[in-house]
Amino acid sequence: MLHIPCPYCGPRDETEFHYGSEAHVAYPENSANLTDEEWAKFVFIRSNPKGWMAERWVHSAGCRRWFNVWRNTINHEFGPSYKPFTQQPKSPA
Amino acid sequence: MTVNLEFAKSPLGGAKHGGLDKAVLIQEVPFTPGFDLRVDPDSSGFAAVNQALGLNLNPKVGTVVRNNAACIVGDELPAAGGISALCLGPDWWYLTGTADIQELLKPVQEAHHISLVDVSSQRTKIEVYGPNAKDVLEHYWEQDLRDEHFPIDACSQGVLAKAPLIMWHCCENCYLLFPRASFAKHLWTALTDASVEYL
Ligand SMILES: [Zn+2]
Repeated sequence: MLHIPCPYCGPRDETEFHYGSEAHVAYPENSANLTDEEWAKFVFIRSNPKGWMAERWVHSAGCRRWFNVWRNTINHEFGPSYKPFTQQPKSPA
Repeated sequence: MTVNLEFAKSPLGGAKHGGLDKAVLIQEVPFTPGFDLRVDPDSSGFAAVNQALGLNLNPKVGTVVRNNAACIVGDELPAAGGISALCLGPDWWYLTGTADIQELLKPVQEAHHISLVDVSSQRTKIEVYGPNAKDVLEHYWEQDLRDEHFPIDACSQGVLAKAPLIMWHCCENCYLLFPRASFAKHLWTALTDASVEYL
């Protein structure tokens, strides 16, 4: 079981959360003008790194807030979590 | 808030299990009023809410501020006019108590950007009291209930026997649970089952 640090509630069990994929994926500026290919890229394609990755989680059984957190995709180790629209902490790597 | 008890039905019918003189007492406290308050702690509405309620709401998630006795150990009712405010999120409080909360906050609602929703029928209240109250809850609760991590007047949302609820450590050996009404029967079965070894 993963132990996920909610920036509002502290560390809690994974069962209280839902996953929201990669963080900091900006919505396209002129979405109406995108080609199908560009649109598909925005919707489906993620960086999928091996190692540290900033991703979104929602504390759905707790404070119900979305937040960002660093996670190592190799060993599931969690780094610092942070609130949206705040300064992103450095990658723990 | 006044409740028309002639037609009201509580999810557990005021059920009671164990006893005050036993290792644990589990009882439903039906028809507990509850309100979801949403207010930005950095806004003018926050100060106005505090003034109207006569409380100092703490925007730290998991804290409770109150001006009354919160639980009904035995059949003694808490004093009239009491309010408890449980901080569930950075801009979210669950208000409960015997005071007319809706009436108190009406002028604030008219003048400021806040939201108050009557959610009384959304949840019921279950009181778990006694020297083994914590042990019963630990059968299912995944969070740390030891006093150094969950002291008196700490509250938390989580999942108990898969039922989402608010848990509040209101006084010594006494925990208040606010489950969704539709989960109450399931939760009752789970709690009374867990209490068998202590009774
Ligand atoms: Zn949280």
